[in-house]
Amino acid sequence: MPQPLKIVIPMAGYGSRLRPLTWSKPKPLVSLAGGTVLDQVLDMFHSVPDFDRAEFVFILGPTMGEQIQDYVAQHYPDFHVDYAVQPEMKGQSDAFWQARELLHGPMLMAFSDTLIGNDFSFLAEETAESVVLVKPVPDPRRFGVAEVNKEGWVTRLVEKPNDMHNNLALVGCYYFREAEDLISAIEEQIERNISLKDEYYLADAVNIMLERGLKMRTENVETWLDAGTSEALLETNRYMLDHGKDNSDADLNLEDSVIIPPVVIHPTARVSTSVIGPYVSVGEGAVIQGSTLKDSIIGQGAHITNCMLETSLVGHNATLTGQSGQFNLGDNSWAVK
Amino acid sequence: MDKSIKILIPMGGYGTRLRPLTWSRPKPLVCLAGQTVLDYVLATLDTVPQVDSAEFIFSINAQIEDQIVHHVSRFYPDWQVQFPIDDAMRGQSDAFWQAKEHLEGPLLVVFSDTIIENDFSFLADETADAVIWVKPVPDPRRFGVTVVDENGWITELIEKPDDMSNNLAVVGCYYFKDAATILSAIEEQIERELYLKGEFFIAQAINILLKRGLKMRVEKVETWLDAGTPEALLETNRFLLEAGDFSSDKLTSSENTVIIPPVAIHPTAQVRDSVIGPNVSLDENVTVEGCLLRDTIVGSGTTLSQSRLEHSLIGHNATITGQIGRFNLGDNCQTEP
Repeated sequence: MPQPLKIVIPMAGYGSRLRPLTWSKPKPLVSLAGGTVLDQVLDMFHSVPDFDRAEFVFILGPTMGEQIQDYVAQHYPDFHVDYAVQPEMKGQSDAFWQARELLHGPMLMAFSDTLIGNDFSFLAEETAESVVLVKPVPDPRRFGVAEVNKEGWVTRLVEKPNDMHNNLALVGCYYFREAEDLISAIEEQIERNISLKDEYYLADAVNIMLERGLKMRTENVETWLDAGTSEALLETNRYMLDHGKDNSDADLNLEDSVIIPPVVIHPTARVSTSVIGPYVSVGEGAVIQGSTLKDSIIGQGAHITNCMLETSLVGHNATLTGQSGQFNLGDNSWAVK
Repeated sequence: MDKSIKILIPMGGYGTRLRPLTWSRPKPLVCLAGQTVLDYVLATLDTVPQVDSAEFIFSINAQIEDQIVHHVSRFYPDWQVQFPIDDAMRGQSDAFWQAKEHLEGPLLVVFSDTIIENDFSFLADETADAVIWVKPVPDPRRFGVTVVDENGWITELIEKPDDMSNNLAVVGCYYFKDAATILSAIEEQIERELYLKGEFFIAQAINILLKRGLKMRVEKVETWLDAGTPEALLETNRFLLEAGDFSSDKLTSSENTVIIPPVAIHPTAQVRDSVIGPNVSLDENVTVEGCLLRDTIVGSGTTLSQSRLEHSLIGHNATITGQIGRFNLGDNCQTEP
């Protein structure tokens, strides 16, 4: 029996671009499309071969990591998850280095704010030592890209290229047949101190592997969604509600209300005399009264009364009364007319 | 007092009741009347005998360490301050215990949300073993109170008494002639596991000392200000602005603006086309344009435009545009009409 696949997700970042929501919770637990970002990330992997045997490795930050452990214990009690802690923010490679004891054999890794739509069943018959997932983009200059030779093998990863001729943007998802090879390259990277602004980037470790002769091919992804900023989170919410997360047909707790699909409303949320949608996600136990909401994510336990909200992120247990406009409010905020 | 005094300020609490402001900063650093809660606590200590040679011990946890140390080094660079870490957060007594290597000789303890008006100069000639500061309150049932015998010595501390016969509420300020005394009682308290809901309260350690015959007297204060909840913070802000000497002429960049005193406006704040006051506190680099503000505290770097705010707490680096009402918003919140 082959070794189980390790699915490794670094999630130590502070998520500062998602403030104020991330003042109180790690980025993976921010609400998105009826669940959390983490739920959507874990959903991506259901197509990996032999998923039930896969072992997850979550790399947590020095603070708020216990929130993730609690969430996983509650929502994914059957998953095999091992945890490592990255005490200082010294980059992606450092995250894997901190988890090195847990990394053996085949490994798939993705970042916690990258959501891709991809069928991973190809891994069952993969012959390359490594696969990098890419998406062709019109202008690659603000991305990392993969340079590929005539035979289709990756020769080098290039950060923010100056020219346009390599347009295969790195989406932040890699497969390595031998995790040990990555760890050994990271060891060399740290020894040679190949870092930028005190951070060790994974692309530099991969380039060391390529210098050593790693056979890496590219795999194109269909969809690539970002959950790293407020705008991106709302855009990803829209996409996911358009692609299967809508539950407007479910038995919801609605009274004198109009739903404009797609929406995802938690069954425990109470909605009365309101117009909800399109593109609204309402969390557990939220109470919406006399309000119109569109293009918004409303956190657990929020109370929205007599408001008109659009393009808004409202944290858990926030209270809004008599407000209209676009809001980005953290947990426990309140605004009262 | 022959030895120089030690002043212990436990500040490890979560400040849950001051969320969302305390999601991103420790309670002592919440803005209040032109400064922070901590600055007002420290200002009350000006009258402590030989305060210049006092050694301060700020009991903190790792999560707030950077922010507290940064504040102290910026505003109190000449003070002698130790920062023992109390990560277990097992309550008040534990904060003493974790700091024990710094505690010897005369010890004054002030909790970080206790703002009182008091002249501490009597400590130079104090003959009692210990002093506890109290304020007579109409209804003592939600406080800790002192029971005093006919000679004025305290016999017992009672938490949340059922009856009204003792109305001297404990405000959170204590003096011990010899720190070793209270440390020995805390040691006994920890050994005997005398805790309540997982926390070691200092009142129980003091009761151990009272049983051993400690001579402790009460010192009454007239003014005891609470900064523990949003309402209390705004009330304390009003009190301090009225009592203090805040000249609005420090405002260097105000254009077409009416100031209704009292207000505390940082010299770097920029205000135009607005009516500010009464009871408004604007921190560093706040920008206000086209607003009516009253009874409101605004954190540094925040931009307010075309809004009417009252009874509001706004965190740092927030952007509020086109809003009317009462708000309690943490750092980095954003609203647009």
